[in-house]
Amino acid sequence: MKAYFKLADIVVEATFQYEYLLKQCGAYCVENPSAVHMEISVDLSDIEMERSKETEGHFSDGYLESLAFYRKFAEKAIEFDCFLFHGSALSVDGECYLFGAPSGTGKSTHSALYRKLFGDRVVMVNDDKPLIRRINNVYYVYGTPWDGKHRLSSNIAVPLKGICFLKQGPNNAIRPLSIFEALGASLGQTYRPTESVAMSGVLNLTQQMLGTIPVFELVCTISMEAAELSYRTMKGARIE
Amino acid sequence: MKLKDGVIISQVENEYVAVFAGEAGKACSGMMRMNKVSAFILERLQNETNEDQLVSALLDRYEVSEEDARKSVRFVVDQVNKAGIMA
Repeated sequence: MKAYFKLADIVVEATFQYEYLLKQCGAYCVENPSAVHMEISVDLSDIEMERSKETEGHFSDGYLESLAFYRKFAEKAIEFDCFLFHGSALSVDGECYLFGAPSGTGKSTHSALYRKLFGDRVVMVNDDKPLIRRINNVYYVYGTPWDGKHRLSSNIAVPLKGICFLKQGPNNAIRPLSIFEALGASLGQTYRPTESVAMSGVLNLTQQMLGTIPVFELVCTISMEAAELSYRTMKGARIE
Repeated sequence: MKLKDGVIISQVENEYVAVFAGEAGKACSGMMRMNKVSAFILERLQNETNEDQLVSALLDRYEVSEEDARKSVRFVVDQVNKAGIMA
């Protein structure tokens, strides 16, 4: 089957086999687009490739096809100054705060604390795999339907205010990261294209982003204090 | 000796970093941080070369003793081997 999806304002003509992807991308479908920016076709070999990467559990072909589709998108997205960041992104008062950490550290938990703290002022952009795209020198975080096990996302774009990498610890402490620390941590959470020109583009874009977006490391417990600390620090931060 | 395909070197402030795509990316997903001399050696390793050629390239470019040049070359080659990115 064929459908058009708009991800990070990039219109994709998708050719695929299973309903799963269509249902997942429902909110991102566009009918009769005036322009198509990218074409992605997923076939059985792509699905088998995803299956070979999955170590735990047996997944449906539809689910694997969806992963394959997003991977193909992430390989090409840099052509549009766009890349995939593994993290939890939320908006407070129209500004995006992005949390990165290895799986299982507590990104989603930290985001949940923000929702408790700020209530309706918080809108979840994407709890797992948002896209970041630079447009006219502004870095926007976009919601996508690859949004983690709690399915938290919105089809919106919000200017990025700050990035915070999380580590679990006995108490709460936050510090700014040097450019090298920030680059290493960011690339650790970024989808890395296999093709050299694309990877080089991701490196450049990430480097440029870190020139304007403040980056911190928060060692934290699961507590409201931790959320208050990361918010207060990122909200007040500015790169001169 | 020669690096696997996909080693990307970029300047960050006064230092350099390398990241990896393609064949190199399959072996190493990290980021390497290095000084100018190491970056120069890594750059040269993208084409087939050997220790002596790398040493003389360093001597041509920088004011260093042959002993120090050889030390630098061996250090970088050792790091590259450890990272698994030598072809």
